[in-house]
Amino acid sequence: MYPKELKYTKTHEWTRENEGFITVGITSFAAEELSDIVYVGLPSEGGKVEKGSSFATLESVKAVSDVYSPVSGEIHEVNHRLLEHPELLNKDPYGEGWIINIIPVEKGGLNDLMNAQKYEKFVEEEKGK
Amino acid sequence: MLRKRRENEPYALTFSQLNEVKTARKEWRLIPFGAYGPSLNMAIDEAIFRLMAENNIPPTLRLYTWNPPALSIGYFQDTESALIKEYLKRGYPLVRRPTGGLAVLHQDEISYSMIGVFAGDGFPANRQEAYRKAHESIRKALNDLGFEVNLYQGKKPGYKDDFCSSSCVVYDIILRSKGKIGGSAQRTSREVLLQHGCFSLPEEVDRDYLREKVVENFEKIFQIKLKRQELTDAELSLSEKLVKEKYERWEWNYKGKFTFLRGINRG
Repeated sequence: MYPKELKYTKTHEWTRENEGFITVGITSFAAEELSDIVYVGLPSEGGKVEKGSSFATLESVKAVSDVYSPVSGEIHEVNHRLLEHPELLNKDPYGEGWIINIIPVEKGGLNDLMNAQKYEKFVEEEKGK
Repeated sequence: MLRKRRENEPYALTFSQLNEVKTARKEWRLIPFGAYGPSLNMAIDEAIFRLMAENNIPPTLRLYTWNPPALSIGYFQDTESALIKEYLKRGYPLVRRPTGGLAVLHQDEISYSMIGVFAGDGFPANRQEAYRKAHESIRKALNDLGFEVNLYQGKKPGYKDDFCSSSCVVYDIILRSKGKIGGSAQRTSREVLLQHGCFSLPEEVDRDYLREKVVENFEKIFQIKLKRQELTDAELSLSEKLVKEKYERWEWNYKGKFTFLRGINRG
């Protein structure tokens, strides 16, 4: 159900490691929970992100929520298309709905994240709350 | 063996059991009513929201009003909108909220904010439940005063212009003779929800009595006990800081949706 090659946070972000870069987006579960996302606030390229702190904001049905960074590093690239097309976060969260690309300050920063199977279990627990 | 209770027979709860039921109600904090300027109103709500989890503060309800009357706009809203400009020309001060949604003119109305950790101490477990229950409490209070009020049940949000009063989402507060009179907006962090909203007053009402009814119905609907308590010193000093560094600043209040997020405090 959740892509096997990705790793996941407890705050429902997904991460993909590729040639030293880490791409981050929100999971399909988060997108469904939020429902129609109408605005996205993005950080600047070249800026810094810190592990566990908010780097973007989303608005859906009058609610503003944060997106948290799973690692510390420098923001290499930002998906600016989301500003005009926030619906990509709902339609294609693991593809065209990616949010940022980070150059992490240290290697192995994703080791403590969940794999797809663990994340699925985690989501089931969250739903039961 | 248990037998079935006969009609009209009192429920067999002893006094001590009754007391247990009463004390099982979680206690929330009620911030005393006050009228404040737009930047301080938003700063207080954000300060409570930011400090709640780390300072272990119980869920909080705050009723307030705006002096002077002011225009509040959503976190992402564009101040270049013709309708918003029209209100600014009329001299209303403007503040950008930390929450989503559309513009609201705060005049002849009661505002509220409700802040809590999701699913803690009787606080709702999700955003929609919070929206429904808070509005149900307000609906019942207005009902108690004899007004015919319902919650909007439409599935699809209706949108007309940049003002909150002209668009409807599910559970918005509808006065039969007038249409939408109340709505709310939200902000979430990992575990905390800030929900604030307002409802306009239908004709002449005893405002003190209406506020009492709102408090009473929040207690009933959420199954809680509200205890009057002032803001903490930490909340007060963070509010003052947020007024100066955020809610009184032109950069926060006026910059458009795509630019104001770059560089300055994202809230």
